Amino acid sequence: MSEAINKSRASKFKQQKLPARQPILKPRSVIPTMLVLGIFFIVMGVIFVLSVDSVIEVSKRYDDKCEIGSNCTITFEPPSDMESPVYFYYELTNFYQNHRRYVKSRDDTQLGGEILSYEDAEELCDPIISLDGEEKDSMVYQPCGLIVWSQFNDTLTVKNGDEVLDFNENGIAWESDIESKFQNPDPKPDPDSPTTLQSDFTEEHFVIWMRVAALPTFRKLYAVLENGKLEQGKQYSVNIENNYPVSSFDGQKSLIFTTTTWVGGKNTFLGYAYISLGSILFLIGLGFLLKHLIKPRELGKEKYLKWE
Amino acid sequence: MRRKKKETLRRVFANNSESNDRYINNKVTNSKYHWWSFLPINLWEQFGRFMNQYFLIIATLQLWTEIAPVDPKTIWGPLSFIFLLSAIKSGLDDLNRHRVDKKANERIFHVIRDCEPRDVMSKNIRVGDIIYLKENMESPCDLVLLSSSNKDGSCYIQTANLDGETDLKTRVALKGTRVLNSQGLLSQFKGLIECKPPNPEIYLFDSRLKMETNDTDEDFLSLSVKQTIFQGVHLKNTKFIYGLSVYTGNETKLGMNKLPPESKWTKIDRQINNMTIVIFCIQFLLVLSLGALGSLWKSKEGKKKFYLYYPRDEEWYQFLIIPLRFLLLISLMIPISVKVTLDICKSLYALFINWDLKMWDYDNNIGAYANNTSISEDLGQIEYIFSDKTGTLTENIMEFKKCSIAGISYGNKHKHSSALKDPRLCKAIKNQQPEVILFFLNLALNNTIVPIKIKNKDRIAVNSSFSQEDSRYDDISVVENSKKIDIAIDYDSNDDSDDDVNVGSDEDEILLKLDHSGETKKKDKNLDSLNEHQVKNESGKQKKIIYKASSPDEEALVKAASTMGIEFVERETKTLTLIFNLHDAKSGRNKIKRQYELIKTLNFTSDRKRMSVLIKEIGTQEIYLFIKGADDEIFKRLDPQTDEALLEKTKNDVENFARKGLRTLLFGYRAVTGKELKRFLKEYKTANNEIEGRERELEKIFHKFEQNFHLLGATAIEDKLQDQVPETIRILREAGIKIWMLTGDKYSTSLQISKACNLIPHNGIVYKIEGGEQIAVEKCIKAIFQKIAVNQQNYYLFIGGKTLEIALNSLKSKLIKLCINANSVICCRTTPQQKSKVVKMIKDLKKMTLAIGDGGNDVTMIQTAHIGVGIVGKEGLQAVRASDYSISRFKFLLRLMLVHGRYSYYRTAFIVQYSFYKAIFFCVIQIIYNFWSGFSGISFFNSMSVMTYNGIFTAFPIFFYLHDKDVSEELIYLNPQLYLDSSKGRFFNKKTLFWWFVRAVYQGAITMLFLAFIFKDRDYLYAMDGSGADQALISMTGFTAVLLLQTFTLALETKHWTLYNHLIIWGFLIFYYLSSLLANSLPNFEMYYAMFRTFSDPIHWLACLLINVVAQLPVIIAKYWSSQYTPTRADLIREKEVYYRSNGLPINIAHKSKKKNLIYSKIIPSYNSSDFGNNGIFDPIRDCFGKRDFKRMNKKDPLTRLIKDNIENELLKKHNELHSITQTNSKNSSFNHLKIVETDDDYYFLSGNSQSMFSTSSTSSSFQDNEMMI
Repeated sequence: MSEAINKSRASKFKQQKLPARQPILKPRSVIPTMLVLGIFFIVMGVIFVLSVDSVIEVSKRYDDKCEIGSNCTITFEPPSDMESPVYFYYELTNFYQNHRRYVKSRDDTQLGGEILSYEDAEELCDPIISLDGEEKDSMVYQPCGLIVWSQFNDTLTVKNGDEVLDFNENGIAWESDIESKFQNPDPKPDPDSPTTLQSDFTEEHFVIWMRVAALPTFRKLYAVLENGKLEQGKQYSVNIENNYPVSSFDGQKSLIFTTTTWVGGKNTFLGYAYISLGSILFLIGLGFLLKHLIKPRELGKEKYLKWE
Repeated sequence: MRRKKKETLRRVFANNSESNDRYINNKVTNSKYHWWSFLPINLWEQFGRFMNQYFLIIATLQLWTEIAPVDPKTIWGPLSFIFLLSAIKSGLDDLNRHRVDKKANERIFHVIRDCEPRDVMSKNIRVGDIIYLKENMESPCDLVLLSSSNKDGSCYIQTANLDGETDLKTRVALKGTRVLNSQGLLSQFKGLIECKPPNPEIYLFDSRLKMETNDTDEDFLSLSVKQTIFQGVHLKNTKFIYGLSVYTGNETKLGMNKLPPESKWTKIDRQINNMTIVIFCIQFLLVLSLGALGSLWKSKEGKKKFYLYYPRDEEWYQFLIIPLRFLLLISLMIPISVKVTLDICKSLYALFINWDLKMWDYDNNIGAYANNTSISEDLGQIEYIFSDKTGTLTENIMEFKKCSIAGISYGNKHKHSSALKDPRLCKAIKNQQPEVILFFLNLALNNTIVPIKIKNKDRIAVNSSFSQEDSRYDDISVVENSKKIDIAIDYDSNDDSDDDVNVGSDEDEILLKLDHSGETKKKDKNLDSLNEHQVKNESGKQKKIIYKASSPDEEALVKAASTMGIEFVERETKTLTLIFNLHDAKSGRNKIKRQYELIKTLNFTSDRKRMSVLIKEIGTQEIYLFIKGADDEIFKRLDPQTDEALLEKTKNDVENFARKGLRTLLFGYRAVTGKELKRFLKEYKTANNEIEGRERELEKIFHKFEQNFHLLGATAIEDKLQDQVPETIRILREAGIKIWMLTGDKYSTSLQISKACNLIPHNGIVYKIEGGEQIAVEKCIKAIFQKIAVNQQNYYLFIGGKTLEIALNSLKSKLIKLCINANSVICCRTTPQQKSKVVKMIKDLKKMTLAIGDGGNDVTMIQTAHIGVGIVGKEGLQAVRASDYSISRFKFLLRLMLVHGRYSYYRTAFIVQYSFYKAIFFCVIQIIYNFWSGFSGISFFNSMSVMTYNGIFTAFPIFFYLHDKDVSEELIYLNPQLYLDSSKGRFFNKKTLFWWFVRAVYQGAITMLFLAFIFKDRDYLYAMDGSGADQALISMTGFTAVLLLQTFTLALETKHWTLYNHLIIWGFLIFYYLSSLLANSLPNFEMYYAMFRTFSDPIHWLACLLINVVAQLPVIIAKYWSSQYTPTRADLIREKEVYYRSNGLPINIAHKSKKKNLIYSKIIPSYNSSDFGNNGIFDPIRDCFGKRDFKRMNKKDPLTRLIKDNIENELLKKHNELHSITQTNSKNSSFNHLKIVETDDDYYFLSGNSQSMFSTSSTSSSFQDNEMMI
């Protein structure tokens, strides 16, 4: 009987005898890894910086140049040719889209096309719930919530002289958002009703606005120039219908035109971070190497064992 | 149930149920819950814990959506899972108890109530019922034995359920009641029993009985434990008994003793608790400061932001909201999973111990067992070991070695010769020298042994019945019982027919069967060699006698007498039968049967240290009082006219024996006149009738009676050391553990044993604290201090029990100072209470203690220490039951502590610290993110991430860490100093915690800051469609980076990579990618489609790489630097193993230092080659790790082979060198084979005696004899 017990116990797991490797950090593996990794990071960083260098970005602040409620024009001149696609953004600063009160104030099922009852809206959309605070289902804002209510509503048109450039405002939001996350309710909200905050739930500027930004300074895509280019030296103008007030919260509004490369836009941080990290790794690796060459410690010698 | 006031005296009337109405019925309930009370009680219990309350508050707050950072499900899910898990566990346990209770409660018993016989269920039995019990049945309640199937009113019982002792004990009905052995007679019985209210004393039953309730003149008869059959006791070898129930239900002795064991907290548990409190305070400060910042931002900034739409007037509670949000956000700092994780890990550690084949005792087929599954880490923290001597360091197999009779010492030719083979003794026996005959007569009669006759045929039958026999823990149904009785009757009839020894008694012969306890079952193979004694009787037929003894000393003595021709063959309640098998001058060998009437047994107790029997030889009518006991007790009771020379000679001999490490006993006798006997019995009877203070009165009478003995002689018994004890002690000591020996034995034998087992080196300086009074002791201690100050050397201390008591009471601080500086302390002549006091003294110094013992006298010590280890020994199972771990040999302690203890501690330390680290890390990210969100208490991660982070991705991969090892097992043996890592708490202390904390904060900060920089306004746009950085994207990238970071942290901390580690660590990373892609394609999730975008974005991968390298770089640098230039011992040994193995070199890892060469080199000279297994070499691997397993291990594991070969060669070389040395110094060869023997007067001869050691009062109840009147 005991033999049977022992047999069942004799598994390597139960006897804690599983075959294993015991990696240790030894100079032979650590120093080369550090040096190689250091070089790799420097190279990566340099490639990164070089490719980012080719990105052309034009940024123009306009909130200080325009009166709220007025139409105005901002001109800009690309420093060099900007090949398509050229992305056109608006940027807001000091705008806390990630504030808890703001982020939570929306209802995804309503945005997905369902008619919301007052009770649900009250819970999810506080403080923008219903027109005049009436507790009726029919008075619930469509859609409700702070994000919808505070939607960016400047209209921006890019012109070359009088010619309106072919900046496409469609196809800028996530496909998935337009296809399944955002759906118009049935019936479609009446654009003239005071409860309607957004008459078309799949309107792409709206959809982009609903994807809250993670940081208080953010850019949101406004349009894309898919064909043609912005030429160096030419004067381009942006016609702005300036509706969105930012001065009350010390915010700024800007326009940005940028080209992209394989890593996106003018990403300065990542490249320099890679170069610095690579250099640090390399230097430390070198330091370890020197220490190891000058005053090495033999492995596996008892003389280092000090017993109490 | 209707008891109105506290009971002072219980009066039980037989056949009068009305007057016993106020006592509860016999329903036994061990279960905690009813089906309706399960939920409330269980929840109440669970919420009794601080951690659970905390989590409940947090979870309740989560329901308030205004403040909940994430979906409340993320905390309610895991919380209810944890609660459910522990509720299910306790529910199942309770269901089991219900089942057992029901089975016990619904057994049918035949009882007589109100003069009517009836069958009732066990739960309906009332106080005052007369219960009929058949053989092998378990008593349903506490009974007073009225009569039995035997005419003398005796019966045999087994009390294993009560005290763990498996030997049979006798119970005898009073003379007045023993005739009432039929239903008819008993239904007329109108007796009254007066006894104490229910109490848990299982060795005390002071009460009295009146035969007729109405008869006021009639005297009370006194009752003692001898008349009781307590609940749970099994009736053995007796056809039936009748008993009157006195205590029922949970008021029985068993019920009163059923206290739930005190749950032990390990050192790490306490540290976790402290840490939780500290983190709770940090949390509180964070909540306050972040809440303040949040409120400030809100009033300064937030109100300006039109898009936040703050109302002008706020509800009064608004100021609470931001702090509460932060409270919930960082509540995860106290990881909810840590308790569950630890519970699972700890139960696995316990299983590793249970499974361990290297702690498997192949001789007895017993493995190690963890009774307490939750304290394995403490095994790695032990600083002091308190060990018992007999049965723990020694085998507790006694062998009669020498004796000294009438001043002549036998068996003294040389060290190992036995007196039983001494021709002089044989000659003395042949000549029937009166002293010698009396001496052996004393040996044969003065004991409590029950001889059991077994014929070969019966043996087979008995053996075959083992399998069907009940084990102690089983319940027996009535049907089964009747079968067994049939079998028993068969034996009886068989036995009658071919019983060749004419007993000459009218009593039915009681054939004792073997007792069928679990222990015997295991050992039945060994029975032949151990207990049996073959006798050839006249017809030449073989017949065996087994001596059922509660003490191996007694067995050795009786066996010795039997070898010398005085054989003890039968014990009935008052007759002892001997067969004299002596040479007669005329007719050669001659067998004479002699019977003795046993008038009284004055039992052994630890206070009395002696035992005597009052014997009347049937036929000659001579009355003798035989005594045996410790030397000092006997010497002072001798006849003053004893010959000085004889006295001197005997004293010398005893001293000689003791010096050889033998256990000595002295024997004496005196003749008793009829008049004297009558007076003694009268006094005895009066004393015995007292209810209060009976013990003291009896002791006085005994003391008066046990005087003026003629000295017969002394015996010396050998107790062998267990194998590997000196090596074990040496290695334990190298591991930095102090080992103390606490024994009841006397100074000289203790010294011998402690030298033999390496506790004290042969040239060690030993100081003995002496003195019977406080002043003397104080003086002695002062003198020792002075000597120490001069000598400045290692020293060893000896303290006797009496001195110890004085020192503990009044000179504690000095004693402690002296003791903790000593290399080892040996306390001799200690009582169980003193043992536990010594343990407590050290425990109070905040040292971790472990007590190990095998006998009932170690129970208090085992329970006092942080960890109690019981050795499955010959003295019953009390120690094992009280212990946290049970092992079968002392040497396994080494593996239990050095391997299991150290690993458990190492693993738990990591798992706990890692759990807190990853929780703090996560919270740091959440907090830093709030600096960019106006301190609004937003969660950076979405609900799904928060839940899976804690519940899956960091919870499961660490489970395989509980297979991690920093150095391999073999190397811990070879370098016992590694144990200091765990005993000094190097894996888990303020420093390590601080570094883990720094790591969490640094890595959390790096992760969040880098994310913010990478994804900030200008820097990020998605190359494929130009969209900007939205929250979902960043948080998913962040979460991926976090999981990668945790995976690499775990990988960096794993030191022992098995296939499973790879599978689980990388597997869960792959699982994360797959499951997030799955979640990505479900529109209901927040991260719908986000993962595709993240994973297809090169910035995501670059960010993850950057964050991971930056976060881990300082850790790797620190680890490399410390392991390279300030390595710990474990680092070096590990490195060495890896280095040698990768280079194919033999591993010689046992460290060398200036003082000692190989750690084993010192062991070799004191041992003969025969002491080390077959090849004559002490092989630490084979001998410490178990025998057979090594062979298996050896084939497959090249490392072990390497180590083994290497050590073997090394040792062989040493060994040969030493051999050549010893051959040249042949005079010096005495140290070559040190035979270790032991004398011990903390012997427990008598079946009643070992019990009395444990009743808390020093006096015991076992003085009562079965016979009240003659």
